[in-house]
Amino acid sequence: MTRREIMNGKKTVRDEDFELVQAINNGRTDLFQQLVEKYQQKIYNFGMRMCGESRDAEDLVQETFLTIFRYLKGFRYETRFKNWMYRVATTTCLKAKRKPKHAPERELSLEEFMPGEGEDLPDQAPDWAQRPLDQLLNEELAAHIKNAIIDLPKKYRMVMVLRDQEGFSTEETAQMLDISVSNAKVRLHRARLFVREKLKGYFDHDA
Amino acid sequence: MTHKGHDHRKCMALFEKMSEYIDRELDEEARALVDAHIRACCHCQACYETLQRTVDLCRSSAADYPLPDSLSEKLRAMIEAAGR
Ligand SMILES: [Zn+2]
Repeated sequence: MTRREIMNGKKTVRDEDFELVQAINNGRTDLFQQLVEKYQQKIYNFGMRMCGESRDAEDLVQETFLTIFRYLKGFRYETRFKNWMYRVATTTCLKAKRKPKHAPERELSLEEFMPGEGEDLPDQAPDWAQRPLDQLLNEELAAHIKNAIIDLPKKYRMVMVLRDQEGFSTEETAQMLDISVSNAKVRLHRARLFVREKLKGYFDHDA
Repeated sequence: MTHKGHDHRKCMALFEKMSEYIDRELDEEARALVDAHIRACCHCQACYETLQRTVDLCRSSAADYPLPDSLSEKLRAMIEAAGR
């Protein structure tokens, strides 16, 4: 449970990691390993979703925990520890050099996802939007979704991964990335439209 | 666009808000307007269903990746070295 309280006029968030972090900061650095064990899977998943390759994801995990180890003393519990950790991970990820195989950093516009003038719009959602989800999702589709997300320009990919895969709220995502809530919403919407186009292509091809 | 029988601008305005609608981030009034439009407009209904399905697929496909065997050991060594 997260409990917000006012201490010395500042908001402090007491979460499930509060005591562990306090203990580490009070000298029990040996306990840092517990934080690593608890969160390495999460940060590795995040790395795989952002980079697509295990070597890059491993680098991200290592850099993230090293930075956390160095700067934990400066963590003031103004957010949950987990959110601060993801903030470190996103910053690390944004600093990493762009891989040539990754999508170029470009803006996605709403217009590019709007149906063209005179284009025939479907009267009904296609089969892939109507069939039960568990009948639809298989390894091949999961791989296709992963690739579609990797194809997104990074700043859109990051918002989509944080919102739709890591499960953070719009407010948390905006706070982590130092962007406004409305900016987070705009990026998420365009990212989803982009992935939807890829899915349409996949299923049209399949049909 | 080829929407017949009603205002295209409504469809466009809705297209912009579709994610907020899916995420239940619209206020009650805006939400009711979208609900009503979607009931009346089969194109927007289809658009909504494919986007909702896209979100559901992204969520459901986000399983844990197998951790490389060596990673835990690397992390332990790295933190030990940094703590010295
Ligand atoms: Zn419509």
